[in-house]
Amino acid sequence: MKGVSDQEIIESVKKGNHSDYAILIDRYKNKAFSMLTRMLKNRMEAEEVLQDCFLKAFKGLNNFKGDSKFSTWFYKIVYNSALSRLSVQKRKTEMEMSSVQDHFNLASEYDYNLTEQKDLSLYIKEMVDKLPTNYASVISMFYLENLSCEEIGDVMGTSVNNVKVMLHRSRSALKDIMIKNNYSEELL
Amino acid sequence: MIELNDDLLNKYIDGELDREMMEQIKEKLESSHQDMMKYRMLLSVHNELKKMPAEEVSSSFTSNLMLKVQRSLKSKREQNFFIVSVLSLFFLICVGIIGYLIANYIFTAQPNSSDVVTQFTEHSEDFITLLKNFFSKGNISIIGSVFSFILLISGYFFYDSLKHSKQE
Repeated sequence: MKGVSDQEIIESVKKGNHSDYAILIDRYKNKAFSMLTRMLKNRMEAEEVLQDCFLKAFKGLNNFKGDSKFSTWFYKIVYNSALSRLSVQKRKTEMEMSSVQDHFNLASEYDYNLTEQKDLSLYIKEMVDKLPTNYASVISMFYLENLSCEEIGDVMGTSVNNVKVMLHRSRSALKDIMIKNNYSEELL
Repeated sequence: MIELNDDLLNKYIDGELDREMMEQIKEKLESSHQDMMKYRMLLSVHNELKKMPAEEVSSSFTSNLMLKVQRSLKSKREQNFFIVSVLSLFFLICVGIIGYLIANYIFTAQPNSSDVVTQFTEHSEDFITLLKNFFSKGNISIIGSVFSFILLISGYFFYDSLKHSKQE
């Protein structure tokens, strides 16, 4: 089923082959889950929201005209659902604080020394999980979902420049954290 | 000579700069060991992020979700069936009332004119009068009550079925 495009699967589901929707689920579940865990910082909640997102997408498939990629459309549902969940939990303040215009230092926010030296990739993953919601979702969409900055901007409802700024800031912050925690040698 | 900062280096990594600027940065990197280290670290972070694995959902995620999808389809069908049933009931009640009125009129009417147009006019007038009588002050409250009662019952069952499908 790897060669089948998203659009072909959607057409099949629309024709009544509802079981084909499982292919789309398998294709996007882990990537979307990564984004949700980074945004909500809670695996159980992320899985719950992801189920709702897939159900919403299923119910809205008839409205999906294929003007944009299914992935962009779906991640928009995922991103907005996560935001709704965050606003319900009154965690929106974190989002507002992490807007691009704010001059806060990511590196100092997440500056903590680990007692034991961990594997570099594991450490980076942990640090990404600790990034503020917007930054973590940009990293997830850019590196895991391979979305372009334009597509990320579309999903998040922000400009391409904002996305690039968030991406660059996250990368620089991660680099600074690595240096502070003596990972420079591993990086080089 | 340009001064290299993280912003510029990030743009250099993403290839967002023009050719001239790219060349200048390349030269600067070759001439400065410190800048080169900074660049290599940023590049390493970029490469590590590329290798970052996706989180995995529980193994039963797809099967559980497909069950929910099937249930949502079933409940949608049930909802449609319910709406059609309620509408049919209303339609049957309306047809029953009109049928009763027509039957009542046919059995009580006496043909007294041979002209078709006059007969039709008379019949229409009589029928309207009958309707007026049926929906008169006394009857309207009874009809209204019956309809309201049916509406309330239907509304309750509709709400209950919606709640039930959401819980599923």
